[in-house]
Amino acid sequence: MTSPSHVMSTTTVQPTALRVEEVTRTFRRKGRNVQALAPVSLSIPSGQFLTIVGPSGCGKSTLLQIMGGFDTPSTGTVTTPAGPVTGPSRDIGMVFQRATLFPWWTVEKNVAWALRCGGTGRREALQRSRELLDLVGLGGFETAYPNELSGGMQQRAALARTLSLEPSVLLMDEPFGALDAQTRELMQEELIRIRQAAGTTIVFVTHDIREAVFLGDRIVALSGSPGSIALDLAPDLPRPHTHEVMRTQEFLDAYETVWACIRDQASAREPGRSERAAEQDDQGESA
Amino acid sequence: MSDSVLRWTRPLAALVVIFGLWQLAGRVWTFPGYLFTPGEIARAWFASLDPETGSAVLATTLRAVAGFLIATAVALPVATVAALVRPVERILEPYIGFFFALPKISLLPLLVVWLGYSDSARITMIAVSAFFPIFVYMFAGVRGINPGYLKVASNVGASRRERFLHVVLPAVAPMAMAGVRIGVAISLIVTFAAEVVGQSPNGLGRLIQDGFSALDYDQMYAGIVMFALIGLGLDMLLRLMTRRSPGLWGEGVPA
Repeated sequence: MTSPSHVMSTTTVQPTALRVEEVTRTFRRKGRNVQALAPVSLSIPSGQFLTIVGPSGCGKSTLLQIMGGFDTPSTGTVTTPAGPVTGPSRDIGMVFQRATLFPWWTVEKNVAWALRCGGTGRREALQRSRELLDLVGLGGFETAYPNELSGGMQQRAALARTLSLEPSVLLMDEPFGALDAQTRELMQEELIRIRQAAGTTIVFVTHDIREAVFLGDRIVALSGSPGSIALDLAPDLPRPHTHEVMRTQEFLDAYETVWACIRDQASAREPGRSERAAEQDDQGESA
Repeated sequence: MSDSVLRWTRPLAALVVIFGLWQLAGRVWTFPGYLFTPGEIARAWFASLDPETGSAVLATTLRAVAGFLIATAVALPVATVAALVRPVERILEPYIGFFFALPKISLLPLLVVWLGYSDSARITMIAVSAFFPIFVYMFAGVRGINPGYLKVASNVGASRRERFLHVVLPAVAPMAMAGVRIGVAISLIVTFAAEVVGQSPNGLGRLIQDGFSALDYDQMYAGIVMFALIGLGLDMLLRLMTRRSPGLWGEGVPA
């Protein structure tokens, strides 16, 4: 189920961690069918860090929800080596846009609860919870309540909770979208570090092109609507890296390629699409 | 330290000033017999502390609490089911809509016709009135659960039991508590009405009503103060229950 090695390799072919085949999604809105996703197919090798980037309302969040089993595709399938994805499971962990920590528990209890639900004993769950909080840089805040933490720290804790599931695939839905710019950059570097340590396959959705290019081994640009893959890029950036990489020519080239693609797609779409319509799309996606 | 001292001393000082001015006004002008100064109210209240008043307080408290408990026991589960099961909501919706706006006390004569001048009629009256705020708050609470919480529960593979006990219940606790506190207040209001209109042989409603008939203002004022104290006591009891878990009951729950 899990890959034999977490060491990244560009030469050997990794087994597929998640396969998306001809997935479409149609919503019913105000009595009309609105297609959010055109047929999308993606094969994600084990250990890959895939970022999905696109403008608001392009269906990227919908695609992620379907990958995690939180939404059902209208047609098409999502499969893992364990079988088809029919609903949420511990094998595919999701980190949501807003940290959905339970405010009635301390941070360590939040993480321990996720472990307890998987059958881990009380004492061991608490022990493991503290280790994971240490990993995400929250050592010393174990007994804090979520509302006592900053947005970035809450997202770290939520990440620790999801990592506790030891998922074979980690899905992240604009997890840093609500953070300020500085915290965001720090979290991005942290995520790269944590990813090195945990070695999980990651699918990361964002509307921030810089973030997508910085984080992803592979960047998929979605165009809407309906969402379809406009670009599938694997730039050759040095790994692991810090924000220094943003000054390299390789980074700038990759950024320009993605930006050009999204700009072309945007200008091809009907002009004067109102903010309101885009917002509604977003809500439809996250619902 | 000084913060917590200030928190107590400020309202206390305001209270002293207001009561002081009121008391002073009673000295300067001569109040009519039905208008008491704080001192007179206090005196009347102390004078009323006898077994007879005690039994009135007990009878009223028991009625209010009985009606309130029945309302809570029915409203919480029914609201939960209505919020989760669409068909149940559709069936209940018109009745809730109709009775919510109805002044429930107008049902009292009808209840008396059905059940006689009895505690059954009075307590039913109290329960029916307290039911609605608790129902409405609980319904909104269950409906308003952050869908992200439920997604997390499915993601971590929580059982139905874990989902209900560890996620749904704590998530609705603040709203449930808000509804319950309003339910307590409504219960007391309606208890008075049910005792007076419902011809109760005992209770504070009876006491105040008798004071009114006999132009015994001391007794009326004493009864009113007792009523306030019962309300204060019950509300403090509820708030004490919510003290136990800082994360729970709304503190830090994102809006």
